[in-house]
Amino acid sequence: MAEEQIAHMTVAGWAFLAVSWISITALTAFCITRVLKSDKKAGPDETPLD
Amino acid sequence: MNGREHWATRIGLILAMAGSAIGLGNFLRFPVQAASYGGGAFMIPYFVALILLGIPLMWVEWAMGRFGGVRGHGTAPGVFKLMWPGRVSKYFGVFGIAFPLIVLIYYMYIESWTLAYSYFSLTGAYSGISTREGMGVFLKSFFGPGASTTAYAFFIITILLNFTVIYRGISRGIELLAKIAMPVLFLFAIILVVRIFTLGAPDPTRPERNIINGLAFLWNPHLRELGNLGMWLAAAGQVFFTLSVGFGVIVTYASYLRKHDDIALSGLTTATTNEFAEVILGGSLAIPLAFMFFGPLATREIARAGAFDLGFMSLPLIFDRLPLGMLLGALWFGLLFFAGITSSVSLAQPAVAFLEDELGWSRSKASIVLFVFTFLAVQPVILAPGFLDELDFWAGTAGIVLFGTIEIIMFAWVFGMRRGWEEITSGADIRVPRIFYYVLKYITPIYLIGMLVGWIGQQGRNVVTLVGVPSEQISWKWAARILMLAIVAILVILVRSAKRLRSEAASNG
Repeated sequence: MAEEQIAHMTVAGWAFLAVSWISITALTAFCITRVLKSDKKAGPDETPLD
Repeated sequence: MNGREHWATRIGLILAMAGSAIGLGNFLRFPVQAASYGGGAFMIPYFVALILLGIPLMWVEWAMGRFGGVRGHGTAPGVFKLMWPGRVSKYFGVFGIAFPLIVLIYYMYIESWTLAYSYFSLTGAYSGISTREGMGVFLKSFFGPGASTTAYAFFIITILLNFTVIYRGISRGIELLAKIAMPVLFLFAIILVVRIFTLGAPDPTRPERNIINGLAFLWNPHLRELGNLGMWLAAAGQVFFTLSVGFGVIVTYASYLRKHDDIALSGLTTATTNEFAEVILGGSLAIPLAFMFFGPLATREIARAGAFDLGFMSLPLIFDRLPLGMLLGALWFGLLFFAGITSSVSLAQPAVAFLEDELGWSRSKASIVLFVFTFLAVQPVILAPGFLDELDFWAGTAGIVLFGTIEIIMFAWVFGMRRGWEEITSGADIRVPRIFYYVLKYITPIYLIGMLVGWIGQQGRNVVTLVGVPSEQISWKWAARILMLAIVAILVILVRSAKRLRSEAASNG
């Protein structure tokens, strides 16, 4: 049976994970905040679109 | 005023669009692709495709949908006819109904497995099985002439649930479903991620099989893979599939917007929400968990075997070994079910909208006809080996890239980028960077044509001539092709007759 080689997280691995997670989370938070802000300007959250 | 339905709320619209995008692929296909192609390095072509293909095409489909919807057309044939008032343009739009319909045929069946497995998990139906091979035999009870009546019963329940949502319409059906299903989906995913991240090392004799090394398995980049054309094609294909672009479903959903509604911010919010579900939640569940229990060698083998092996054969075994595993398994499959149903209703909607808008049918009549057809068409998917894969390749993989190419050329070059840009930025709640004007006009079309050429060069001949396909599947694969051609032919005939039925609508704009 082949010996299993466990690769530990490398600096590059952390970098790829961190950049991906942080950029996606930041962009998602930005978009949701802007949606909520523009909805607030237009009226209550559940106001019909027109 | 054309009397079409509208979304009741903006939050409902965004959740419905995100629900369409977030599907089984986010939690099964993405981690398998990333693990198979270069780990973290996969994210380079993935993000490139997201920025140059996915988000631009998403804006294009939103813009096309709103443009057509305010003029009484909610599907690609009508929208194309408005954008290019020639005799043939509407026939290119047939793919925007045919592809989602073909995908719906098999997608709803897979979705029914998730509902069934959720029930099986709670009742312990597979708890005696301890090997992947055993789970494979269990999964086979969903296929072939010997498919179990339980499997069939769950399919009937699934198709009825989908039918009910579509029958109730946009705001009372699809939007209401999204408002319930999407928060539940995120809640289930977060519970599972928290549980996996707090598991430690499940086997004390193997402390190196832990969550950090599980994430390393997925994220450590193999940069030499960047020279692999296959990885670039796979990443672009994944972006297409995950954002639901190239299907025509976004066009239809966006057609229920009003003239001055924002599309730039709403479209971007949909895309980022989908990415959050895919990269952060989807990337933290199946593959790291498989690694923690099976180790790197078996996990690599599982990833190579594909999404079904991972989702339906490997993970149930793992949940079965955990405390409260029955509940965790039910959450996992419940999560997949909610992801599935919010996507499948979006796949059904273009056909229903076409029958309503272009043939003047009532929603109830259109829904009944569509679901009777789907029920009949799914039978060979259940009974015949290879049938599902063939539909998936042509409609769900190659087809969406083809239709995406048609859409971008129609939008940027036939309709004209100047008018197209006005459509995208009209009513926008954010400023769309001007660089996307040039991305849409030049880079996205070239990228897509390159993808098509790359695919044809790499796989085209083998796929068309069925090289390597087991002999018992060949006749069924041809049957699947005939079914797809028949669907396209019927739609062409309907589009042709719809011209006479709704000739005034095209000039209404």
